[in-house]
Amino acid sequence: MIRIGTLSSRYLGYCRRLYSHTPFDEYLDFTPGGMALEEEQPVTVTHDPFDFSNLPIFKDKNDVFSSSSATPNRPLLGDTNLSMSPESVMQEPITMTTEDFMRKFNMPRSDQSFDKKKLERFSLFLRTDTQARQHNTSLQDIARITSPLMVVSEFNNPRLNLAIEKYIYDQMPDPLANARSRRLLLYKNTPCVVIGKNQNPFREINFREATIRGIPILRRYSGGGTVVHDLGNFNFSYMSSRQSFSRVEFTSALNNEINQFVGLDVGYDAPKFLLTTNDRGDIVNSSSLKKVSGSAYQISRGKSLHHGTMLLNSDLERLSALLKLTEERKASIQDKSTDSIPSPVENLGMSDVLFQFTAVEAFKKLHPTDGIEDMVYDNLVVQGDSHILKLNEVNDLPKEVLEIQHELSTWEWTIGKTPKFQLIVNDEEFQYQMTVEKGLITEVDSAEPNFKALIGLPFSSEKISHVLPDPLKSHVTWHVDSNTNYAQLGIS
Amino acid sequence: MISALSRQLVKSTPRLFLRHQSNVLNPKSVVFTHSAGPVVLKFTDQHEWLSHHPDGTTFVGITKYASDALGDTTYIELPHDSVGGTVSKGDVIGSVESVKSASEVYSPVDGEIVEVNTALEENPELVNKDPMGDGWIVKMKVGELDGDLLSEEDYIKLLQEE
Repeated sequence: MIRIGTLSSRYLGYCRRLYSHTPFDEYLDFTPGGMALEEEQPVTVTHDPFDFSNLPIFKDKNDVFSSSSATPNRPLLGDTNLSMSPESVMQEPITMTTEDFMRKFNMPRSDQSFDKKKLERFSLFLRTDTQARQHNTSLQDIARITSPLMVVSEFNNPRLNLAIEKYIYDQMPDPLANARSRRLLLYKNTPCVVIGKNQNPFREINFREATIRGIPILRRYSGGGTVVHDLGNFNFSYMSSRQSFSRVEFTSALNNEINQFVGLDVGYDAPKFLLTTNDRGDIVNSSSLKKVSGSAYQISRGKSLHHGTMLLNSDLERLSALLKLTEERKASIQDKSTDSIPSPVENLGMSDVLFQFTAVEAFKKLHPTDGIEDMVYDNLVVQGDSHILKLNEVNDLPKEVLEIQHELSTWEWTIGKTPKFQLIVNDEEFQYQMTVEKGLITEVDSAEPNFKALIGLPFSSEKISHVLPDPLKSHVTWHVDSNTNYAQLGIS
Repeated sequence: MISALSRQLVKSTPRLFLRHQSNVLNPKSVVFTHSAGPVVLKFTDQHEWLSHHPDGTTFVGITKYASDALGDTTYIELPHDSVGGTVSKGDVIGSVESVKSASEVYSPVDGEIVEVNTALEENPELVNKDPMGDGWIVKMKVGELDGDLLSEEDYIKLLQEE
């Protein structure tokens, strides 16, 4: 093993070229020691799928340089997707620029390591008030373009953002027929709890706490576990093809972008530590390994969606009570729904603007454009054939988005979609067992005859209290959902 | 050049061989033993398989390749509501959740859903252990098979292209 930091300058010269963007044809013409190549030209090399080391290792330099097995489809192994299986690594195209490479190994950086003007332009675009302008591009007009599209939603309503996400995903042209069809959506939400598609909210969420604080509960379309959101938490949705589905494609690119700002003074709060990706696709602090962004995925016809929740400056303590359940409660609910896996988490401490900039840059690196100069319209930036759309006007939203938003707020979706479960209560006062399917009580097992009346009713204290006499009523409604007021949770 | 090429061959051969071996029906499972045959095995480009029996009974599931790519299954959403009803080709007939991914399953054909594999509710891991056998997802009643479906050969070709 050779650590790159200790390599001779001759080796370093090789590495630089390896990690720069050289088209394959030109790469073949390259002879070591010959003419210097220009930087930033793509290169692709077959990597060893079983090479998991964190550093580039050249077992035999001739092997690397004479290898004619290099093809554009088998690019160089990046250093950020190391936790994947050998086979998936083989399918992961990850390239690294010279700058990334230098940074990774703490090589001195020049001041041009990133384009400050680009960041300023992006920041200006975010700050510009589009409401005063005349010609806002509507989401509907642009949702079906076949080239890459980035959308920055300035709405903070969790259900509206989830609806925008679904709309953009559904409208995205099938990447099978449109190879450049890709999307990135960025947004942040006011406080809310979001459960995975196949989860049981009664086993995940403290309904009492949510009711008292009036925190909305949402069920999303992607899998995975429960998360709490607040305005210190930025969400990204990366939409790609099913063929190239990878749990780490976007997070690897995003980490590369974010990591270059660690310790850099660019006028915005810089990230406090370096990031890496774990084998579940979560982004973690590379030294403490605490989770900074959770991931959830959705795979549909031809498409895939990767959703991430980046903790920038979230008030983690304040919301943690929403996910705390008593042992008694946890034991009383039995089902086969997807478990949440609680992990220690940490804030990245990065500014919103800088995060959005890095996410946009990561997306552009994965789906490069031909570099035509920016054209800025009212709420739209066009770069080559890729677009960034800013959303902040409800009038610019298609009515389908509002329909999805409504759908997301229904009891039938949020609670009714819960996988079949049983509530088992065995205390001194009462003993009963209820089976709940699609949100409805389908079976009741109890010595108490009054329970028969519950069959066919929704598993909701609001809907069953009228059929039970006291003190049974107060006992059951408490054990069902802690007397939740669903309107308080934004559920109707 | 030659050494690199042969290395490439050595690398890719076992994978293709494995795929070829594993995209076959489990001969001991009901998806194969339901009738005396002949059983027609077809695939879709969305990584579903179907085994079609002479009486029209058709089992549908996800391929070995898809199940491996998705990883450990934690939950299967089955189309309970559609049992006894008809579905069209391309309709969502369930989803498979694994390592935080919810992956939709589509009906490969027009037909009636006769039964869902409730064993998956207790043991979702059957989809990983025996995707083309006891991990079947729905049982359908289907008339003539659509010409658009892929043969095993076509499906393996598709995997190679991907």
